[in-house]
Amino acid sequence: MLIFWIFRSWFGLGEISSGDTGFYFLETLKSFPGFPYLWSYNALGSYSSLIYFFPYLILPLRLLSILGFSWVLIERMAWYWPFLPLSLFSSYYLYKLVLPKAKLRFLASFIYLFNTYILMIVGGGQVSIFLSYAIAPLVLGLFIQLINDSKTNDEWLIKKALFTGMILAVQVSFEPRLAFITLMAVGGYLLLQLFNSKLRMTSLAKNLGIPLIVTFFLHFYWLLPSLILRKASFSPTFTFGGWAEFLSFGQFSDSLSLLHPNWPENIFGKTYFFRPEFLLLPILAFSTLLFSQRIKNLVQKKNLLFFASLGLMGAFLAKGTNPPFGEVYLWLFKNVPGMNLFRDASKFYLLTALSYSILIPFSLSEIHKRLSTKNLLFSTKNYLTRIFLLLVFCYLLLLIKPAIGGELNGTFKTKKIPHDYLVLKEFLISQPEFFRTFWVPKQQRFGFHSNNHPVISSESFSTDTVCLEPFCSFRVEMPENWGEKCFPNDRCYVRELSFFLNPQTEKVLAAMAIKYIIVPFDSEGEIFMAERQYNHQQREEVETFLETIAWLEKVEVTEKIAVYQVSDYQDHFFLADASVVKSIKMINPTKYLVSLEIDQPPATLVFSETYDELWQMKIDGETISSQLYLGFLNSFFIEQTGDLEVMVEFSGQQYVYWGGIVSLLTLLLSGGYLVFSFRQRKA
Amino acid sequence: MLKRAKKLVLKHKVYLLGIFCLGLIWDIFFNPQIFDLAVLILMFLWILTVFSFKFEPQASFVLAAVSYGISFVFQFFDKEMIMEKGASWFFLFLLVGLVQAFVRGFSKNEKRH
Repeated sequence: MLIFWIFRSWFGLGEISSGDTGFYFLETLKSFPGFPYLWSYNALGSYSSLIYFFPYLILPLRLLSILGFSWVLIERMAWYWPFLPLSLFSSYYLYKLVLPKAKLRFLASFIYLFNTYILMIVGGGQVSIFLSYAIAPLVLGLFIQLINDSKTNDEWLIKKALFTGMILAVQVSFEPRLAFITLMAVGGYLLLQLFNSKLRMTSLAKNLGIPLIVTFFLHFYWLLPSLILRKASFSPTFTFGGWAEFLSFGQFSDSLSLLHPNWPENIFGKTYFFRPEFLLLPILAFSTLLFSQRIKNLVQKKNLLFFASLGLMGAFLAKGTNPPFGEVYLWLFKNVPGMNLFRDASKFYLLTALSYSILIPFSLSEIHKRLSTKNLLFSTKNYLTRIFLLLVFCYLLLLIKPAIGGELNGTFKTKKIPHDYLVLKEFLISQPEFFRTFWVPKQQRFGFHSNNHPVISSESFSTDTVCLEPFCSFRVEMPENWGEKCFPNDRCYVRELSFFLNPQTEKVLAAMAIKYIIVPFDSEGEIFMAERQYNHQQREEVETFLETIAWLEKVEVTEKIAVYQVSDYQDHFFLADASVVKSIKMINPTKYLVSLEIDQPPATLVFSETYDELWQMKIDGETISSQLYLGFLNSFFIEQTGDLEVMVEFSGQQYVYWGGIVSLLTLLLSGGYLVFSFRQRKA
Repeated sequence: MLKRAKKLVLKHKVYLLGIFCLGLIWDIFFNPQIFDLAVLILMFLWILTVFSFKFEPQASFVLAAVSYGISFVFQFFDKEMIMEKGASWFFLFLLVGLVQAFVRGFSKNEKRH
């Protein structure tokens, strides 16, 4: 009942798109690729080998949209609904595995599902993180079984190892960083068990090697291009130590108390004073250490010590660079391979959540046991245990009072698509030709986009802190009258747009195939912000500024969204001289067939996507490499004349195909083996 | 050399405990900032104390509980620094206690084998 109450928005109708979760119209979903591609058509096109999310973020959405489900159902079926049973089951499973005789098992699931960390992640729409979080106890539990069962060596263990590999692969496809943290926990457990002389190293290596190998090969479709091409898939600035310091919001008391620093409003960077009620949580968790001294079962005792250490490690890492020993996190971030992926240290709350979901129910069950075995009158004893359970439950509910009271925002509230965005969508899809839209300062979550109409945000190129080509060098001195009403030391949106005053911007926007400049209607109050609040004046000033740009023509589409047309915008492919592009056929985001009519060679075919040396053109059996055009687009030099048909493709994609074959074979072999042996066993 | 150091520690174990207690009180209540080196030195002193008095892991756990109690109480007086210090010492004492518990567990395990 509590689940249905807290997550009630998930069981109703209405959009729950919020925070990191995007909103997709059916037309957008149908334009999603049916295969993982290294080149994304989003924005101006970009390379990314980190396409691990394809099996859950892209494929199910596309399939469900083809089957005719609406987005309201698709997001729930693919992401939100699976989270609840997954996290409930996997935390229950881990507790039962680690402490088979302990009572109050439901509390393990309660603590794992209803802590402030995961409620904030869920509320913020961080789908990949909450799904990976949901499956983490299952992964850890399966590995613990493999480590403990290494004494025996039978077919059953191989099956379990294969199954573990497949589950780990699922977790990696949700969020590799949380899978990394889960494996850190597995590593800790293994280290602990290595001191146990009874372990047989060969079978241990086999039992742990199989799942890791299976995971590696299931993800071979993106690992192979990553290993061969060795191209950066994200900005190297993300790994600067300054990021780790900037994003360390949680203090030690927060992380020890499993209290998310942004609880409950979930406004990025806005931290709150500590709440004393949370201080009881670590006391409950670590009082296990006092009870554990009396446990006779050595394995269970070691398990409890392990989970206590895990909780401490999680709390220490989740506070990031904050004192004490903040330098340790910074050192790990800079020097330990893989740790530079954790700019935001709060991901380590996972370890604390895993730990507390074991320790707290155990402590409470021990207190409960002692209360029920005290030498008291039967009736008193009965009342005592009941009152104790009631108090515990009330306390745990008190911790998540804002969730029960409906105070949480994000995905805990449903939204309605503003009519203006439906009108804009119809306006855009009524134009079948390829063009991009340029949103100032960024795309609104209900803004339409597809592979035929990708979206670019101006803030990707120019803000106070970002200055990227092609617009960076076009920035000019902004007249003083613009941005007069902006708050000091806060973002001033209009002043970021000075590049519009440069006459060269028009030509560049046209070459980027941008047809419309759009100033969104900020229906959710999350774009035009000043002092962490929506500020309408900021939006108005941006609109007024764009109206002064002579080469932009305002188009009346809808009242609340301002749309401006760029005259003479170019197509996806165009020739930089008088020759003609007759037709363009997109086979997939990494392959295009283009028909040309060239009167006077040489000609330059411009491909309006971000320049990458792996783009190449094939013409008459000859391969031509891409050259820079305007310093950021692709272009190909053509010496032939007459009617030509050329193939433009991204050469790195071939590695995805090869890797994909290996991944598919691994899936078929390991899945087939598991199904076959299961049936055989049943027979 | 090591034996001499051990002898010295055992001989002055009461002073060690005294210095540690004073240092801990100074760090929590009078040191206006979190100073990692001071924390390290105090932790080292506590480890020496545990070693010389042959304390059970429970001693560290009790100290952890006391530190956390301080953190809890000072939360109500808006003394954020003392609260954070209490939380930090809670963590450090638990860490020492856990290591002790592990070491004891393994040595018992080895004896059994």
